[in-house]
Amino acid sequence: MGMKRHPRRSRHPSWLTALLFIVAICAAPALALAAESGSLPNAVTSMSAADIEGTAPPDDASRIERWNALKEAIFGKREVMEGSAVVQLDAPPRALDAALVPLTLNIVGGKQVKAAYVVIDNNPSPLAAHITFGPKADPSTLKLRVRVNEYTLIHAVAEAQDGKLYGVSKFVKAAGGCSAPAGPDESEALRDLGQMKVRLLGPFTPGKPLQAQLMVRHPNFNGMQMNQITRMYTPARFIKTTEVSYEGANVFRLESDISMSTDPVVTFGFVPRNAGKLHVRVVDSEDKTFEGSFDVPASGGPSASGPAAADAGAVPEPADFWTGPVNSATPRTLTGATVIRAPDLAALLKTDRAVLVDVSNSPPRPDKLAPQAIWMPPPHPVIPGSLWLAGAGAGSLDEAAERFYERRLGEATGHDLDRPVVVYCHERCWLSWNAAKRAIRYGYRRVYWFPDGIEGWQKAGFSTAVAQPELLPGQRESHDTVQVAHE
Amino acid sequence: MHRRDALLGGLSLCCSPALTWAPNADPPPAPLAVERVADGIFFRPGVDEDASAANEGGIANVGFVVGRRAVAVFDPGGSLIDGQRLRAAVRRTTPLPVRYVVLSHGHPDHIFGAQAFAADHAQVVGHQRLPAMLAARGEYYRKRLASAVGADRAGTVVMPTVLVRDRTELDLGGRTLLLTAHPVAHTDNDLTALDSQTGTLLAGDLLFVRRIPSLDGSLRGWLDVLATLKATPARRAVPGHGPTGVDWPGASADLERYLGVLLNETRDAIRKGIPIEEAVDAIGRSERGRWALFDAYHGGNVTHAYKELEWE
Repeated sequence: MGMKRHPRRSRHPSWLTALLFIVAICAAPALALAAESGSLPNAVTSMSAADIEGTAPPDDASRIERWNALKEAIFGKREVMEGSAVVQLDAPPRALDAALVPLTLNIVGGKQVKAAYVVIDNNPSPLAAHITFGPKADPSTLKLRVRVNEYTLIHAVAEAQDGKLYGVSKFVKAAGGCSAPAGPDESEALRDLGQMKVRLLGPFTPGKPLQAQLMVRHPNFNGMQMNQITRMYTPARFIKTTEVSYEGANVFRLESDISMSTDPVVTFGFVPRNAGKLHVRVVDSEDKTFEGSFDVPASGGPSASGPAAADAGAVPEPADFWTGPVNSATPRTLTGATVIRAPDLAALLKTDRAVLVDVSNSPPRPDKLAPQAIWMPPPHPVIPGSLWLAGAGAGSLDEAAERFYERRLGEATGHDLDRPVVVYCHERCWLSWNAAKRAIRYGYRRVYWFPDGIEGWQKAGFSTAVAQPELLPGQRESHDTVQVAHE
Repeated sequence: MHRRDALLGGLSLCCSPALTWAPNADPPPAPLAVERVADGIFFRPGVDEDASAANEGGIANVGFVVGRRAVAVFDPGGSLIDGQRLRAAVRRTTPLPVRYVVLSHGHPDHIFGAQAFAADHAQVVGHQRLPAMLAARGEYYRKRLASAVGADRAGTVVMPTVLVRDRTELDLGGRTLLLTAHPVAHTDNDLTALDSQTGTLLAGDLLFVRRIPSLDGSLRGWLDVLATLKATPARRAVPGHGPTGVDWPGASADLERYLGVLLNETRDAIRKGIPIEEAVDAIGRSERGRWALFDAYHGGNVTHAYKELEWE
């Protein structure tokens, strides 16, 4: 954000510049409307020095001016009434982490509410959230986590069934939540994109309101951090809509943008009449859709006496081998296998005589390559000590390939079905899932699936070695003579 | 420098403007009062405060190691003025050239003095992930620092010219500093240095003594790295904050206890369904009174820990 006011008065107030800026990069619909309609006042003539630093007190004239402009941009001519009898907003007076400010909206006094708005006045994209409640909702408590870029008023506005608007506000001291990213780098942040968790926060009693917490892995890049090496902004990529339904009926729909924290967490209420499924559908600014389904009460979870984790991945386990795209999101589990992460794998390798199997594909030599052309794929890194059985993770194997894979596993394990077998390929790669599933079918009792693959191993800081592939029968020879370079 | 292990970053071109140093006609700033930690190792203890005009951003332990042929600065200071004073302290101690400026990690209280050493044409050495952090946050840090100490005294972000991926050695003539780049812990770009000649570990912010630790990387990762560091063959350590010389590994006990409490109580809160806004007031109360600046930073640490552990 950091549209810092120039010491000399610029023609437009800084927030307007910021608005236009953010409209340009994020095209936040509500604000684009405001900017186009020209309804924002053009001159806020006197701003205090404190306001230049964003630290003006809550009752400063500039803050009132800004809220009035925002109100008009969002609600038009509709009146927003003082609303403390209808809605309450909890926010920390001083944020502990400006990139993660927890907000709680409580609907009080029994008013029927159909929607709620959260406006973070001094964020460049102020309309942080618009929530529409569905028939299955219990709107009494809603929690969000947001970014706050500078000292700001935060407004919560509840819309009653009759269309009347009730607003309250809190002043929050925080700085830098938008421009100071807390998270890891771009590629790492995108790794678990769309992973979801739903947690029930109370016992399931049919017909009674139940609170639940939805967590989504998403970096919510706000497009505001300039990389000073490339002089480019990390492109904005954020969750646009989050829809939750229960047994086909809507619980809520949340429209949001860059003011939501990384890895958004939403706590909401719903009223399950019977046991069933919560369905979550999240769409981001690249129109990528993430979906998840969660049992209520959670299957296999703790009993109704405590919070239950309905922890399921967005991708269900297929009943048989996966024959779809190899490089796509994988399930978080493999029935019969233990999912292992890099640090635990490193520990396992130290203590146990585990057999490591890399089932990455070996890049095939293109058919049309001239016979004399040198075909030399780059050295293939593996976890040291791995067998590289290219092809063992295919969706289907013919009998010869199947026999080859089973034989090689047998030789590597000394035909000991209790030897740990660790299967991996790349991150977001189904080959290891399939190949590990095969190992289970061959009778191996300690199969580990390492879904983070060689990338996860390297990211965790462990060393690699270079391997040559053993091709399963039917796989094309892909490597000519390869000079093995030591990594 | 063992080139095998260090990536000579292709960064020198893009960063050279930051290194351009305008000679100043003013008298050189007074040197920092440095303490001799061990033979040839000198550090200035930082104050347990936030950066301000009064402390000139001098809130971290910053110093240098003198070999027979060259000097390595290990953290160049919390601001340009802090760095200029550190450089004056080097000049008062030895005529040898400053060949390396090591950045222990990307936090502003450790790095903004780097610009003061531009005239030395030293290699600026950092963790391989340091450039990414500086790219993302450097300008933000600079603005905040400028508002605390004044724009003319804050300094600019200086990008590393040498990146450490794993380990590398800096040869100072008659003594070598072994640099180790760590996995994600205090931040994602922590670098430590071991002087085997005196058995001294320059721990950067992987070790906090007296001042509350600040968590900006991974809680579990920090505990893992700390366990590794404790096995380092060193008798003493220089923490990033606290006294300049402490027993090693004995002085890690408080930090380890704090991180352990944070881990256990945050996990417990998540398991019990205590929401984050309540957890910040409930977790780690036994640590209050044991650390300087507890109230200013502990809540942020709990927030960070919660965010990390709720996905377990």
